[in-house]
This record gives sequence, C-alpha cells and structure tokens, in this order.
Amino acid sequence: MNKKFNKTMRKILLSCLAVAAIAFINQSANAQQTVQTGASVTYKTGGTGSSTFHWDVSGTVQSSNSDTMRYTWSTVGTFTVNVYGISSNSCNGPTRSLNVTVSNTLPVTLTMGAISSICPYQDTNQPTGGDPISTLTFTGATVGQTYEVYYSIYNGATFVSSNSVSGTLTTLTPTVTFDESFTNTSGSNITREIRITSYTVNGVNYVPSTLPSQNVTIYSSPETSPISY
Amino acid sequence: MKTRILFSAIAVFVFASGLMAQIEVLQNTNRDFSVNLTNGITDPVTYTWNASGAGITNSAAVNAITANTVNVTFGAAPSTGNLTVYGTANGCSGDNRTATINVVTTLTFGATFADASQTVCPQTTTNPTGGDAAATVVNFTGGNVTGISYTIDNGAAVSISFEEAKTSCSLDAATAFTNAQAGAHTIRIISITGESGTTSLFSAGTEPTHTINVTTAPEISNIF
Repeated sequence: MNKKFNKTMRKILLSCLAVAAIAFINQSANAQQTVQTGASVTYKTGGTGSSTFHWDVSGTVQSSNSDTMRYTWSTVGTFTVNVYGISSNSCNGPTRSLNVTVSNTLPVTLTMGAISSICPYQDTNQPTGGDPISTLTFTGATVGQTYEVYYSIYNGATFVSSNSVSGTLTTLTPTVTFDESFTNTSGSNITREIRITSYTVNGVNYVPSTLPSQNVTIYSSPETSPISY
Repeated sequence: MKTRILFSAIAVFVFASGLMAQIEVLQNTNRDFSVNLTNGITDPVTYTWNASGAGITNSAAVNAITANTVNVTFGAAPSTGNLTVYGTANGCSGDNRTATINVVTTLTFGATFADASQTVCPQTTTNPTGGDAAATVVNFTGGNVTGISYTIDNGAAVSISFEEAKTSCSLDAATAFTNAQAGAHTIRIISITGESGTTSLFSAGTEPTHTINVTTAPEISNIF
C-alpha cells in the first residue's frame, strides 16, 4: 500500500471534515465559531434519514432545505445557526446548533506565505513530491495552542478537493505541508490555488471575510518512452 | 494487396515492451539503448541510468551517463543484467523504465532472408511508384515469432507485430529511393520477438540483412 493510496483514503475521510470546517453544525451542540463581518460561510450537516432540512439563523428561517446553507454575515453580534432534518413522513429530528460570533475583526488572524514551486508526486523517484509547503502566521494565538486549518484546492475557478492540516503551535509562524500528492505528467507546469476556508485555534473556528490563498506551481515530471534499442 | 499498410500502421521505434522487457543478447557484445521524452516537456532533462548485474560489464560507465542514450557492454554467458532509467527536469523525476537483459551464447531466434538482394528502379516523375523494394520473405528459426524490428541503412528502427505467431513473414519495407540514392541499401533485422516474450537482439554486424540495389535511371537534359 503506497503513500498515494494512503493519501487518497485520508482525503476521502477528510472530505467530511473539510466540509465540517465550513460547517460546524454536525459537531457537538453549541460549537463555537467566530466570523468576520462580510464573510460568506457555507454550513453543512450530515447524518441519515432526512429528506429535507430546516435551517434558521437565530430564529430567522432560511430558504435552504438541503443539507447545506450559505449565509453572509453582515451584522456584528452573537447568533445561533440551527438545523434539523425532516424525514419523508414529516418527522422532525433533533436540532443541531452552532454559536456564531460576528465581529469586525477576528481575535486570531491567519496569513499564508507564498508557496514555492514543487515537483509532482511520483511513487518511485519522487515519493515526497506533490506537497506544497507554506509558512502560516497566526496573530493573536498563543504558542502551545492547537490549530487546524481547513483549505480547498482550486484549479482556476473549479473546486477540486478539500483537506486540512493540523498541529500544535510551537511557533506562531509554523511551516506546514499540505498533504496533496499533486501529480503532473502533462509536460507543462500547472497551477493550483490553495484557499484557506477557515481555521480553528484552541477549539474556536474562525472564518475571515477574505480567505487567505496562494497559488502553487507544479512542475511536470519528464515521462520517457520504454527503453529502445 | 501487400501487407505494407498494416506494417506501416504499426511502425514505431523499437521499444523494449512493458516495464520489465526481456531482452536476449550475445555475450561479449555491446549495444546502444535509449529513451525519448513522451510528454513534450521543454525543460532541460537529465537521465539517471542504473545498470546492474553480472551481465553488464560497464555498469559504472553507464551509471555516469546523463544523456538519453547509453552503450551497454555485455559480459559472458550465462548472466543477466538490469537496465533502469528515469528522467529528471527542474529537480523532478519521472517514472522508471526498465529492461532485463539475458546474456546468452546463442540467440534463441534467428532469421534468413529468402533472397539476399533485389534490384529496383528509382522513383522518378515517369516512374512514381519506383524506388520501392518488393516484399521479401524472411524465414525464422528458433520457434514461432510474434514480431520483428528492422532498420534501413541503420536508420530509425521499425517494428512489426504479427497478428498470429509465424515461422516466416513477407517483409515489405516501404521505401521510395530516388535517383540520388542509387546504390546499395541494407535492410537489417535487429531483433526478433517470440511467443514467450523473449526478444533476441542481434549485435552489430550479426544481423540478417537484405540488400536493395537501386539502379540509376537516365537523366536527360531539357528539350532544346
């Protein structure tokens, strides 16, 4: 079982977590999120047995009846995002809630450093390739706190995948490796955008109004013919 | 109808097929091996060769080469060697390509042209189909053959795969020799692949050959 396979399996698992990154709803009751004014956040819930969903923000019913709801926070204050599922025979499930604090500035901010061009992953000769590296800067956090950064990969405007990177802050400027195993045998460089969708520090999830992002250039590996004679 | 159309359609450089191609060579000979880029990368590429096994006697020299072609010297039979190569550009490495070499005293497969030579008229405006060598029969020894590769005047190798294994074939090389190319030209069979997948690779000077003698057509002046 090679690294690529392991990474793929991990991505499948993390795709759920990455969704949770933009939607705390399916976590424990009354989870905490702090959002900057102007941020648009997509919330998502999970589970089984629901045919439709009921969403409200502090009592204001939202139009979405699917398992996702996008909301733009424009007013400073404290709010609660609530959702429950409704079965096909009209039975309501339990409500899940997320407390959201909306402020003009976030107590913990995050910036993302430039990403150097990388080699693509190649299982035999480039087994550590394909993973972008960036230095993150947490402002307002404290050394020793835990963090998890949720991000999405875009190819131009097209969403590709979601993932997260986590650890403990031994410094406020950790260098992190995005475990992506990008491959590229096209013969030309390709570019992907890494866009941070939210980040959690010491259990509190933050969503900035402007999402940090960086592009990464992925070189192509040279592909050769079979040996000829 | 000649079989040239089929042959032409599948004519390619001769590749050691698959990731672990089995190549059989004569002891104490040498041969060039090479790879080509297939994905059009434009960055400078270096190649990392890894030759190993008692069957290859110049491994150190091969391993020092960063070009896409190496000359491999084979040892005494029976022995084996492995040849692996990958390209690197921008510090990024590609897939391995590997060939397994069996050094033998006698190649499993051999071939003989039914006719040692033929003579053809050159291609001219009044003979647009000239210059094309006629099909010639090749008889194989050593078992049923599934494919061969050949060169014309040591040019790019062309491979032919047979739909069914056979002990002889009609080789119709597509040529269009002109008056300027009058003289002797040589078809060389450089390898033969059998049903088992083993490829017998002839060393230089030992290949079965067939000579195409291109005659000279008269050249006359303009009418005056």
